[in-house]
Amino acid sequence: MTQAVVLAQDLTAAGFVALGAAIGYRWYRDRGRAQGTLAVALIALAVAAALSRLPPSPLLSLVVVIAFMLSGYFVLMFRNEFMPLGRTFYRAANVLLGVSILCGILAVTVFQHANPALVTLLGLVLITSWAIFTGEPIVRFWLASNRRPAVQKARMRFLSFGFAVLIAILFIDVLGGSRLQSPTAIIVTQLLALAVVPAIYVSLLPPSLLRRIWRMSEEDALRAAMQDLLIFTPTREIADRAAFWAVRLFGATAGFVVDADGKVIATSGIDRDRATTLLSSPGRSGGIVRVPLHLAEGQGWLCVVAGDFTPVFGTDEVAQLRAYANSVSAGLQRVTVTERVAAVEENKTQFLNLASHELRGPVTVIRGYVSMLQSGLLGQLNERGRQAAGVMAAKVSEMNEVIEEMIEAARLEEGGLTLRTADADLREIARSAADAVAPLVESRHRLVLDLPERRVRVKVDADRTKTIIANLLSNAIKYSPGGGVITCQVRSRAGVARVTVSDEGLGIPRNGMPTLFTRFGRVITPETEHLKGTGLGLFLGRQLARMQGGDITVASIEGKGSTFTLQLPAASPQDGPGNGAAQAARDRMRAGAPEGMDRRQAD
Amino acid sequence: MITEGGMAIGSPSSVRSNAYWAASLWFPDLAGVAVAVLITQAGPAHRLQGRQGPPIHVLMIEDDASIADMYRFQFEHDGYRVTVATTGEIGFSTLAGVAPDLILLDLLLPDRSGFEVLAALNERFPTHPPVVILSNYGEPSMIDRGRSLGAIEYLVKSRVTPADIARQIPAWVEQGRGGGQGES
Repeated sequence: MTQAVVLAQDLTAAGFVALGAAIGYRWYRDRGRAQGTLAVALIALAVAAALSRLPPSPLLSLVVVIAFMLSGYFVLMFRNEFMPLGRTFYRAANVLLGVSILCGILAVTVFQHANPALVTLLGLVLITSWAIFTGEPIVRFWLASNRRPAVQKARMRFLSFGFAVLIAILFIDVLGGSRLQSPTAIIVTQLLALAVVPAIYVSLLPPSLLRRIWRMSEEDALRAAMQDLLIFTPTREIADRAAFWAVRLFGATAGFVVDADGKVIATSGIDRDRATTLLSSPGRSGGIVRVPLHLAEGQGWLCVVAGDFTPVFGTDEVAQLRAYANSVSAGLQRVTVTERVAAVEENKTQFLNLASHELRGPVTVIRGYVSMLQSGLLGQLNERGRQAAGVMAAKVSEMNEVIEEMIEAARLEEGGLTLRTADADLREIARSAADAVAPLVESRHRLVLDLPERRVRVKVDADRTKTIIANLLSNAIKYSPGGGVITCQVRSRAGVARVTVSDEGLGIPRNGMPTLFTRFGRVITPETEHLKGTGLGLFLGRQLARMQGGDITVASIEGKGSTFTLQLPAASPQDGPGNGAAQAARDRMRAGAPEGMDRRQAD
Repeated sequence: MITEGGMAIGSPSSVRSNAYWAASLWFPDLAGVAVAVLITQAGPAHRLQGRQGPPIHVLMIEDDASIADMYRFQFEHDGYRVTVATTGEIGFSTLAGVAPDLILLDLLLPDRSGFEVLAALNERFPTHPPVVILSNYGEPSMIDRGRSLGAIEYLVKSRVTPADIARQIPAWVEQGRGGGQGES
């Protein structure tokens, strides 16, 4: 049993010596002031542990006491590196160190054989001082660990836990006195103390496996952050987020993002000036790891600053940081592109809006005077004058249509387009649309209006629906330069009302189909290039139809003609606002037919 | 400036000549229009059938001289009496002196928006004549706002000809008389 006790004591002492040696070596390899103080503390502890295993002598006891007290004192100094002590507290700590060392010396020299109670008291002063030196920092570290990244948090807690166990063992030892002198008790306390060695070791030099395990709790959040960077984050905040996550992921104290011009664009845990300084003089204590960001404007950097609790970056961390940086690069690129596109879109919409409203004023005056010229109000015109006035009236009205289309398109993009829906007869709307385009019909065209006997009830914005149909009709006329029959057929079946406009004109080439309904998406061929148009009509028509629960589809054979179909949900006679059947028809139309038709035609 | 039948009234003559020059600057070819207007007005030949008494008096609050002149030409040709006010404030001072049968209101005015003018009209002249808004803007929100402030009609200028407007004036006046001052 005695041998077991000795073995336990030797093992514990050896453990602490190994710990001290490892930390000392580590500090030798990568010197930092804070790490230095902790290394001193642990080496002192190792010295105390080792010397106490040698045959006792007063001098040795003296050295052990001093080493032991210094080990506690330097834990406090370690804390001082992070959270500086107040002046009074610092002085008190120095006084306490002196007093406790004095008590220790007295205990092992003058009062070595005195009253055991006095020895216990002196011992109590000694370990209470040590407990104060180490206890205050470990409580602080434990509390501070809550706000730290997972790796730092785990490391601080292991350190706190290790010293807390040591304090507990010391108090139990001294206060327990002879009751704890049984071999079993000694073995138990020694093994407990031995368990502290790995706890402190991993807190200072965590193996990468442990780091990965600690980080696991953050992996899901990290994955979400990556996704965020790649998909959702809409603005420049992306750089801030990148810096924040880099810090969290690597248990660093700070991180920042540098753009291609070397400007710090985002920081986390550090201010921009300090980041700029660090960037210009890296390699200072704590270390800074930077990985490249491949940006369109050039190479930027994602930098992470290692702190006192941050493991110096191993190859796996750097590899991971690189992978993360790639995501950040992609995210930043996407934001830049999105911003550019949005700015272009915004400008275009503003331009459309402004230009069109500004154009309305002059057009009003020109249109007004032309109409007055035509009516003879400004004097009688001769035959050629009347002809000219007629052409001017037609052109002004064309111009007006273009302006209206531009305004409607701008409104649509701004989301400011509201429909005024009411019950209407689709036949009436088609009729008024045909009336509106009547002036465009020339002698070589024949416009056939094919309407059913019964009412075709729809709930739509009548004005806009009329515009859609008139646009389809005017297109049919425009793209039938050789003339022919243009049919406008209205039908209603299975809850879907349809207006089909077919012509015998130029038709649409296959490769024109995909852009047919896009904004400004005109199909230009040698036959059509002389025909004027904004390319807004079909775009607006389809958008307006879709806003009303319908769609526009097209079937065309190049050289033979085209058939455009406007579909709208038909309102049944008993159709109320929430009628299920009509809604189902609406859904059916949205989900299936139009897209299917499109695809078939475009293929 | 207030011009009536091509002449400024109730304001210094310098203002009047400004209006005149502005009009001829905008439309040099129509420098004779004002004279023609004077002539037209000399014989108050109201062309509306079956209507007795003085001609319908239209107050146009419109700062664009070219538009105001064009409308006035058409309206006066059709037998209406026209007064043009180029700002909201001038419109108010006109209303303090005369009682038009209809107000045609532009929305973009130099001193305040047409909506503000309309709101102030409701407050200062509770029995003001019916108001029709004539604007270059046709946003649904603006139309709704105009109507909620009591305008009986809202027209986008570029969509109607002066003759279209002139034709509807008697109906608007009737509507104003029958239905009070708008719907507000």
